[in-house]
Amino acid sequence: MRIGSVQMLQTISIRRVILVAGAIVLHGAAIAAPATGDSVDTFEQQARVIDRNLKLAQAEEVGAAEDPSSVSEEEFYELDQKVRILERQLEIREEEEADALEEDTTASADESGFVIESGDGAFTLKLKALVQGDTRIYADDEETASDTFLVRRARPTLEGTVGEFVSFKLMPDFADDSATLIDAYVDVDAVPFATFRGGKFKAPVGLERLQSASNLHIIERGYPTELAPNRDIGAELYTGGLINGKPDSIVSYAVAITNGALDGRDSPATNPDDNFEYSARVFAEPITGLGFGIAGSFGDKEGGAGDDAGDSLPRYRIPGQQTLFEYADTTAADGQQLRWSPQGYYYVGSFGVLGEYIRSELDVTDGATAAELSHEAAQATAVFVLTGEDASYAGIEPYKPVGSGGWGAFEVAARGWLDLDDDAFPLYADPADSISEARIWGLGLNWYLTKNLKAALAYFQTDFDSFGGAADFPKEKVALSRLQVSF
Amino acid sequence: MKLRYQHLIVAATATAIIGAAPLASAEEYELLNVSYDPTRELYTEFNAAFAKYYQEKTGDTVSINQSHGGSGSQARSVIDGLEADVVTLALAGDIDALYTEIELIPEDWQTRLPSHSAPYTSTIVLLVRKGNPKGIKDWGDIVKPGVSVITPNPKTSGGARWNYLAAWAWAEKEYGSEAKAQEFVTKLFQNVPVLDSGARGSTTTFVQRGIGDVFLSWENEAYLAIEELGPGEFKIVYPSQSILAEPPVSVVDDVVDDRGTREVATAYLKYLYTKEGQEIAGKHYYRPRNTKVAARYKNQFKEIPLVTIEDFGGWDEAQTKHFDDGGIFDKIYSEGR
Repeated sequence: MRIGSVQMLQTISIRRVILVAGAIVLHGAAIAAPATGDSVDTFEQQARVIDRNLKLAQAEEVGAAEDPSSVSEEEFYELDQKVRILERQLEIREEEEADALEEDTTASADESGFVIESGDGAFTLKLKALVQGDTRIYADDEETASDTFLVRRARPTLEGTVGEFVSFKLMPDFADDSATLIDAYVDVDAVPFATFRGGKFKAPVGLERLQSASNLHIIERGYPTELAPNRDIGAELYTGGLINGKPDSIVSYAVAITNGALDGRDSPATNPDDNFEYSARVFAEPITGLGFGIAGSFGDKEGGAGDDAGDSLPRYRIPGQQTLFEYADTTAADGQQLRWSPQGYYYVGSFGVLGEYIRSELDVTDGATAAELSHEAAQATAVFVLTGEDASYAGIEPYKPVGSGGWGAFEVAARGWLDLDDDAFPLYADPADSISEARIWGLGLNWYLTKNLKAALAYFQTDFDSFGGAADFPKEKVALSRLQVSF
Repeated sequence: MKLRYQHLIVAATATAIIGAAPLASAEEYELLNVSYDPTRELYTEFNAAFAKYYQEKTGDTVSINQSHGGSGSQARSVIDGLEADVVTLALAGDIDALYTEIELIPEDWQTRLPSHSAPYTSTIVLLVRKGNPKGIKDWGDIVKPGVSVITPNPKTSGGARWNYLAAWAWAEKEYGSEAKAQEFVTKLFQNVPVLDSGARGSTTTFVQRGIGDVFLSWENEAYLAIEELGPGEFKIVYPSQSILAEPPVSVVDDVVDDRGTREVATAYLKYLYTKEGQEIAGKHYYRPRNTKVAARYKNQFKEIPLVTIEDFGGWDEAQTKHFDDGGIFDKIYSEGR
């Protein structure tokens, strides 16, 4: 039907034509324009206004049949289709832009750290950190240690993934005046049930050693950690476990071959005695919160006496970090070292208990005689979260952090015991300078202000025995405090 | 006391056995099915049926998450790392890519289930508006001036590739040469105003946005549009010839082995071939493979001559010739613009 015909089935007013044409111009400009959020939104808003007016105009078509300035239904249909097409193209473009945005590399910063991540998630870089500022106050004037402030740990950490199978961690510590490499390893997770790790990492023996330093229930770790190896250099195969960030695993394991670290210490940068140490761990977590297992290590240790003794023989510290046992200068490691440690934890609701026992057996010699010495330590640390959050081996996240209408979370903890082999005295260690047994009780209070900020207080009292009463070691009474930032 | 190594080994073994004891109880599984665009309704019903069946049979519970999109795009997502336990895509060429690009599946994946791993079939039809105002009767009518055609983008959509090949096959038969067929599809895409990424997007364009005169559609999607979105508003026109579309399925071996879901994922796909699975397919307008079930839905589907992908030399050849970068579609789409 053509313009002006009085036999049109339906006529369309010039007003509608103008509205449709306007919409076409606006939509077309939006499609043609470079995609910016503001320009697309503006065009779309204008187009929607015109569409709304178009619909209103359509509703006003009563009596429009006699309007002489109308166009045919066919022409209007074409114009209407053009508007719809432009709208749909805009819609599709917006969907594609939203999809592209999701695929782009993103950077984020939140309580878990600072993260750069590729669109497909295969490449990530995380910057994290742990900073702990402590005080140590020794309660008795007889103490030889000085009350002190100290930076206990200052550890920036780079973690990331390179592709689907490879991840890495690099963590130095700047707490002492010189930088120390704490962790530096690469993980390759290419086959099921076996992740390969190479580099410097925590030996898979001590339960509390494997717990992150930011999640400790009491400021310093218990005595069993003194007998377990710390970081070592080598290779490991492992899988699963809450420790490795896989809380759904029921059974986890780790087997490692390393240079061999002394009790309570990191291994040196190179292997000092041409012997490797083999360690292994099996740990079951059959239900959430319950974990138990056994770990151990064995390997030969050999070391020269005198100045070299420090490389092959450990020194043992107490919670105030004072050394209260060391081998005589004439003593050297000469043979096998075997450690074994049953361990476990149970966390249910706000209550938890962590316990471990460790026995470290070492063959030593003073050049003339030899002995196998067995040192043992045990601890049981009980925790209770006063504010109702769930206690956990992996740390606590407060329900109501400070700054979000709450006071954070409060946790109390109590605990351990170290017994050094009497056979060490007097040939291999001086009973006047080294303790033979330490019994400790400790109490801790942790305040988790936020997920990233923690304040802690702890008090330890340790009683000592000497071999044959050769020395009278005074009790150590030490109060520790800590302010910790971690992300 | 000197501890013997044997004691340590026994203690370690006991720990592992005690810890693993709870494994004997019922398992909970979660599967991800990455599918092509129009199968949402099919798998909503199928997943519920399979979960019920599997729990009754094994005592284990299984929940299935779905992802839908253009078949080519979905395959790309899986290659790029989306951890699909199973893929149920529009064409074998898209699942082949999971082998050729990254070996997520074995080369002979299509032999593992019956009927080349395609539990049901479909075809391509022409969906027009009520009254068929443009008089569309066959492929030749859709390239006429003034006819607006809706079809998704063959670069991303499996359905679009079936559409294209169906049109090409008709034109080659009608006009007698590949050159004429190329001319035909060039004109076809000149009549396409909007290219959605997948079949469901095109359904939205045609049915809900009211764009276009004819929609080149999966047969099941056309029936769905009529049943759920516009009873009486649309009509299916069966062309004189179309193509046998065989959407295949496969377990993604790398993923199921890593996640320990091979057994349940395989059972899930095999359930598509059971009487219950075939009934659900027929109910959602897919042509069942099971002859007895297919007989019950005979009146629902019109029998027309169908070419197959083998007439194009298989998906490898068709993909390379028509749809890969620099292929015929790239040439005709740029010519037509």
